[in-house]
Amino acid sequence: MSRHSPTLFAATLALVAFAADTAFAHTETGVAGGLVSGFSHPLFGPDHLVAMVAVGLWGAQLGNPAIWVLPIAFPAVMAVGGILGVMGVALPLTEIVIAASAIVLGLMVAFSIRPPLAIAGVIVAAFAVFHGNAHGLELPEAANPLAYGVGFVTATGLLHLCGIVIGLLIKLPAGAHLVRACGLLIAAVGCYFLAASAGLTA
Amino acid sequence: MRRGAALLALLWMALLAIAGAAYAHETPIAVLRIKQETAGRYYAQWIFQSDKGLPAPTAVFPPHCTYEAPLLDCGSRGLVGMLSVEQLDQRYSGVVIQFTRAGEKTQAYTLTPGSPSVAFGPGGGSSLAALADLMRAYILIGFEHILLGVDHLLFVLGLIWLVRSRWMLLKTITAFTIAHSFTLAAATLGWVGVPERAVNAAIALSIVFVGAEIIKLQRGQIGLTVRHPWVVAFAFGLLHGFGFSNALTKLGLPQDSIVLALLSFNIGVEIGQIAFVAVVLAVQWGHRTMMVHFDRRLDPVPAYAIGGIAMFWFLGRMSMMFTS
Amino acid sequence: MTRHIGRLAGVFACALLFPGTAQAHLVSTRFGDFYDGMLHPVTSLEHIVPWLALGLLMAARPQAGRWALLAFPAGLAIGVTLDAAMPALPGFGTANLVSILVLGGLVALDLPLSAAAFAVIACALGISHGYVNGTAMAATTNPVLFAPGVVMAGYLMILLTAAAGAFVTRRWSAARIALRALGSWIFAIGVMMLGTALA
Repeated sequence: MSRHSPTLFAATLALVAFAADTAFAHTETGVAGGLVSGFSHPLFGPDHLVAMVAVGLWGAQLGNPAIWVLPIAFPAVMAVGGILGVMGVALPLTEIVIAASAIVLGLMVAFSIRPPLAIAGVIVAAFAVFHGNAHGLELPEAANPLAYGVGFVTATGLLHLCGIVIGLLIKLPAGAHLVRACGLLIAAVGCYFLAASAGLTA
Repeated sequence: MRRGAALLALLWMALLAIAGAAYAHETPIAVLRIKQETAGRYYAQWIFQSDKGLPAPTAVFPPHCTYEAPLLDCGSRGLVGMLSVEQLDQRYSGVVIQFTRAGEKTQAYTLTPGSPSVAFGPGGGSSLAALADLMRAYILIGFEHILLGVDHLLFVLGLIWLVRSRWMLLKTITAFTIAHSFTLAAATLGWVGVPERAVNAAIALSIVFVGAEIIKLQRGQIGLTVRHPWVVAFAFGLLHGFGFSNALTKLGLPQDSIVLALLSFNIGVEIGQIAFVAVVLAVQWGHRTMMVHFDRRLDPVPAYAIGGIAMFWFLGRMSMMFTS
Repeated sequence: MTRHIGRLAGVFACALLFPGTAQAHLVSTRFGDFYDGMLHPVTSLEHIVPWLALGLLMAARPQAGRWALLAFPAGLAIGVTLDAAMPALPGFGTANLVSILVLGGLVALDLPLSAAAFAVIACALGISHGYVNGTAMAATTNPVLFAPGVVMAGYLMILLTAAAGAFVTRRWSAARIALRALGSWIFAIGVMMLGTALA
């Protein structure tokens, strides 16, 4: 039965654990550096950050099936932009598009607009491609690309989760207003960065 | 039950019947003198070799020390940690180390092929950092010892298997821990002396006993261990403690902080044991959750494997006892 | 000797607590080749990520997925043995990057895989990863101890990941979506890693 099987297994462990004293070396450079820089990258770009939260908020607002289609489809679409980035292909106007996407997504949330899933998908996908491209360009320069990838994926996934969790507040009476207010805030941040990338701020 | 009692009796007989037999033969010895000059700096030299034809043995100092004969520089931490002598059994039968700290009496340590290293504690004016070094070193040694001590792990595994509830498991493992900590301390501090080879053979026999209990449980006989697992765990725990002690004394203990070293070693052993138990329990949980089932006909296989391996060890260790 | 133990313990603590802190480390153990083999895959993201993905894939379909518990360790054993017999075959490193992408994608798609499909996927993954772990063996390493260590690490990792995944998805239906999203992220990592390797 199930409680016996670990014994089989641990007996194997025991059998082979006889001491053998040779040492061996295995080097791994920059895992920590890669993880930290990858993790902090989406967090320190406020336009990325708010757009990411907006994806989660909007998904929650749209309800089924968007609430799960968006978080699952997002990374796969993002990978398209990412692979262009690692190949060294920089998409044009990346910063402007990302700032614009923050505005669009923020306004969608603020006015609680519910387009068909396909249209919502295209808006998010456009953002995802540019977002992925920005990260992909940096990936090969990381000390450990895989650690960098794991780091930024974890951060981005957590941001989605934040958005979804905040978005779940719409079930509360005041929550819907709060979520829409968040959308407005996100759009405002997007405006600022749009202005910044157009060189309008100091 | 009867067979279990027979096995138990056999075990204790094996323990009691054999007294430690000392044997001596003539081989060269060497003396290493280490004198403290200033804080962290020592003067270390081989001052005597009974056979002048042989090259002096090689002393291996703790990693933070640099040795350029005859000067030994250990920095601010001082000479704390493990000192060992290489190729002891090939050329020398024993090495005596005379260690003199500034303003203290000389202490002598004897290294033999069986225990080719000695650990220096922080000594009289010991700093906190040196004590921490010592503790860390011995916790790791304890951890290593239990992880490589297949016989101990096999015994714990058998206990986990026999015990039917979490509460009982906690009691059993605690009893095992208390018992082996007790004999570990008693034997290491020299309150009791036990012949090493007899203990090793008896430990193997204790695992055979657990294997037999598992088989009996599968046949529906409720053995001694199933009814009172903690009693059995305690009794055999005493035995395993002697085993730990043998390993520890072979390694060498700092004479000036023996209690701290002993405690640290014990903590290391418990950390390793808890880690092992946690892994086994996690695997049990994983198998339940993933609905992993094995054919019932395979049930006795692990028990026979445990018993078989342990019996093999027992015979091997018994033969070692009588041949040398 | 304490030096080696100290170094190992440091690595151990890093591996257990936070794999990220092990920067530029040298896994040098006094614990013998078995524990060396066990430690090697869990200190390298190259192995951790796809193995976690396999565990997640099993978590979504425990009934069929548990066959991977047999096939994956068997594959690892074959892989390490293959390396000991025929070292320096090309292509396994790339195969491992592809495995990240494929497994992540499968988790995201949540396809109803059969037991046979699980066995084939897990075995192939095991061979490829076993081979690459095998290359970490030094001339003095004993493969008879090292290989079971790798196999044990693989078994523990996929079993515990799968069990944890199955446990949370049974409790909360939303966890299933989180699982698929995680798979999708792993897929994205795989795509970009492959791009980096080929670029």
